[in-house]
Amino acid sequence: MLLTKLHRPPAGNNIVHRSALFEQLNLGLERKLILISAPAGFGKSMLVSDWSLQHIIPTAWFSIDNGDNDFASFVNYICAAIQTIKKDFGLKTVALLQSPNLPSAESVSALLINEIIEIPKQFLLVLDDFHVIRNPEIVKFTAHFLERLPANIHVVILTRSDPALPLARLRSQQQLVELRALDLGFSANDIHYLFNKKLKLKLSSEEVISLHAKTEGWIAGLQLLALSLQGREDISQFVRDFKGDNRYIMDYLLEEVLKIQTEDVKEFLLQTAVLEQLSAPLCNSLLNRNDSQAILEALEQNNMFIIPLDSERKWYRYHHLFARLLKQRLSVRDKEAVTELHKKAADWFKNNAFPFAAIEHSLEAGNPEKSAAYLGEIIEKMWEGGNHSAIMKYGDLLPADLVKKNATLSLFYSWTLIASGQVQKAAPFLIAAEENVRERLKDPTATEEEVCGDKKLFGKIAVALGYKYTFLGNPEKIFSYCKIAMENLSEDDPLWFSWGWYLTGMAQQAAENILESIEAQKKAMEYGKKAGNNYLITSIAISLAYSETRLGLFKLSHKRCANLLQLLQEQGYSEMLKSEWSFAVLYGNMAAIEYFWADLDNALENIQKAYSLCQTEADVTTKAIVVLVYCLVLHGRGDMAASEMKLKELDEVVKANAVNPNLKAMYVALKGGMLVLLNQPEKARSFFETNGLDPDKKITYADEHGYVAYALLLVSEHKVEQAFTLLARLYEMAAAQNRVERIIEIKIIYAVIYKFTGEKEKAVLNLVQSLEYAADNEIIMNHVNYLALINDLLLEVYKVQKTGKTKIPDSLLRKLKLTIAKREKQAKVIIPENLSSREVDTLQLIALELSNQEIADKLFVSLNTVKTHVKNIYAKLEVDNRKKAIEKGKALQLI
Amino acid sequence: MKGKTRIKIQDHLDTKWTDCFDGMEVMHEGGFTILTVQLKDESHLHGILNWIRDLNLPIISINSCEE
Repeated sequence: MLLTKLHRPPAGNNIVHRSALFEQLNLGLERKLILISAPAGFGKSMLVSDWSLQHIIPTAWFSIDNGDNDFASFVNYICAAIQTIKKDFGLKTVALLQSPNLPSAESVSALLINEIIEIPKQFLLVLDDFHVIRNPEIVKFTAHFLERLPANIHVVILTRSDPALPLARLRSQQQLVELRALDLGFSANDIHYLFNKKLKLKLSSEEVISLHAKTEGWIAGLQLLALSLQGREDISQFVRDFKGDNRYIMDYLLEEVLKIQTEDVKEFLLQTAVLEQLSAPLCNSLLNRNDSQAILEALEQNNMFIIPLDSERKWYRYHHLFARLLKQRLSVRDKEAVTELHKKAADWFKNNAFPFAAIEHSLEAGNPEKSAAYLGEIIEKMWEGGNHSAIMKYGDLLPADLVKKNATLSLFYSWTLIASGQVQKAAPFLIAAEENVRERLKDPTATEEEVCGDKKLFGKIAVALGYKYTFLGNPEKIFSYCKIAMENLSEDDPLWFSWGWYLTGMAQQAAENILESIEAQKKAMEYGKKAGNNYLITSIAISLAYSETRLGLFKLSHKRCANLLQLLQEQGYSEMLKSEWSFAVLYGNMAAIEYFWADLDNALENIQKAYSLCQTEADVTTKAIVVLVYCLVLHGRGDMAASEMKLKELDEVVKANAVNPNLKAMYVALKGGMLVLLNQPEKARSFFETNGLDPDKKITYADEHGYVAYALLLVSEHKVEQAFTLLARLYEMAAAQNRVERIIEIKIIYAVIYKFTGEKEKAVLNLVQSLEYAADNEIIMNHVNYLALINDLLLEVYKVQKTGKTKIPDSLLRKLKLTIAKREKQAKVIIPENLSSREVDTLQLIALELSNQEIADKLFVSLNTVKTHVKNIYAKLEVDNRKKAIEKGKALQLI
Repeated sequence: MKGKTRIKIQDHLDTKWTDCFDGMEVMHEGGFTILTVQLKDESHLHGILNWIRDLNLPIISINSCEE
């Protein structure tokens, strides 16, 4: 981190205080954003710096440069800037950004805002040179941040071109103060003040006016003019010549300024102009001299467009425009000298631990080999620190062949590409890296240390290749690369080790090897915790919980989710849980489990959280799972209309996208199952057939879900033999992996068939078994769902239970009975839903023992209307007097 | 925008600025400067426009010379 970028530029000694502009800026203390948009040289930074100093406003200053197009780096600097106001600000956010996988702009913004609210004072956050920002993620972040900005912070954006932020909205909400070139330029009065009062140059008012006309108030031009006038005898002549000349004024004035410098200073200016920032030791080394500090300070004293970047006067930079003009002059004079200077600068920066500057200067010096070598030394650190854009930028900038020659570069560049979705572009770099290191490992002359390093690298490359194949959906490839990874990596690289196991687990999951997946993810978790990477830990936990749910290990899975949420909350990431869509799976999983527990209130709460998280982004799979669970939960609550709507939404998602087969099967099972239960066998059959279900075919794990409902359909079609055959196959599959939830459902369907064939004992036995399976994880929702078909059998089960011959815990049956009772009560609640809201109002007033006339007055309606309402209420509640209506209303929780 | 392009700006820019952008020519015409450049692509153009902005040169017009 360069602290120089957080330094508020001091007001120079020739500062003109702009009191009229200060008043406009003061308005900004009531608003969210002050936007100062004008070309270079209009004194934007100076104005804001002077204003905040004069008015003693606490100010967090961030001078953005090209390197800050990295989202992580940008946010890091913002946190560091605000730390000048409040110590320890944003530590959580910074920790979160220390990851090869970045959180979304929304969650980072929400995290910051939450912490800013805590700061007990008003302050400014100045983003200087915002025009260099090209990264859309940063723009999105800034827009989100501004939208929700608390009242104690005001953002000031200084830029040469208007930013792509919702300015019109801020303007219409009166949340914007805007200053532009026309406002910022010097008036004739300001020019008079600067030249005559401050510099005592004795210009006539005509001369002042002509300078105003010539420069159009452009401050950089006027400052350079002031420099050229210093020590001149013939000021009037100079002003006349200047006015009459139609050269670009900066070309003209720079010439004049350089003319009056000593040869020594002139050379110093020209040669150091290649530097973005300069310090005395750097200049000494570049120019083979030892008095640079004195020169730099003298330049500052003389207002020579040089800005100190810290209060110790260690680092300076030239005004951008001035540097540009000087650089152009130098390159016209001597192109080779420029290259030479860049070379020297690169060496100095390299030796003094400024790797980025070293890379940039090597590139400028036409030496990309050196840049690549420097980058290779730091790229792993960059990757660990989440500096994706910087990696991408240099990777794009360097010749591809050069990157391919360096395996480390290729590895991290391609990882970054893959993470941003550019899998195809990444592929050749990874292949090159793999070949490269494989060749090196064959070299018999390599030292032990070299071999050790190369093996590690080879392991990491294998992880990256596995990572690549997760996007291409090729479990076999993932397995083989993960195997290579594990052979070459060791526990000393917990992050990579964890990644390798995580990918293995994901591949096992994709191949439907749930038990193996869980084993792998447990190992991944062990090393992920050692590496302390929150993103990875979260991903692993979600994958584990998902697998455990699939096995019916609901208690374990639910606890895992709850623990993860608690952990994240304790670490202060609760904001992220509300905005990061990847958490939708977590909430969705909890809701699904609660659904099977018939804990429908919590299920609803969690699925609503999940649903709102998926609204904006989220991948199709996540979205579809969440909508599916939502549909189930609503159905379970007896809210058929809402459930129907979610089912339609799901139809749309499945139709519009290629969803993964497993999910498709869940959808088919859900919809088909509902049709069967609704007693619509024709519709159910045609739906199953359109979706390719055919019991004569091989049943895959994914399809299995839908076939359970299919079996029930066969029963309703009197195809009992077929139903038995199908169920036997399904049972075998589910039992092989001990998938309890499926076994329960199959046993219930068996009970239904035996009831149908009149084999009551077998029916009861199967139902008892289903409940025995349900006991450990208290999975009772299946029984609730098929209640209409098994209600009579359940009564038999209760009788058997009393004889003590089952292994069903009493508590489970109690829970089941309670749920059934609650559901029956709810079913009755549905009846009065046809009470209009007016009728409900009336009923509530009746309960307050108001007369019809009093009710009419309260509701602003006629007495007759009230009488009609009362009559309708009696009819709908099936009562004949007020007392009974009140009782029924209370029972239905309408009162 | 691609191909040969003329950018007209206010005042006389020193002809020494020639080639400060890959293959850019600087000529004077009346009180104006004409920058002629063979544009490679959009980002080439934006680079030049940024450069013009950073020097605070007033743009009069930008025209493609391609048919």
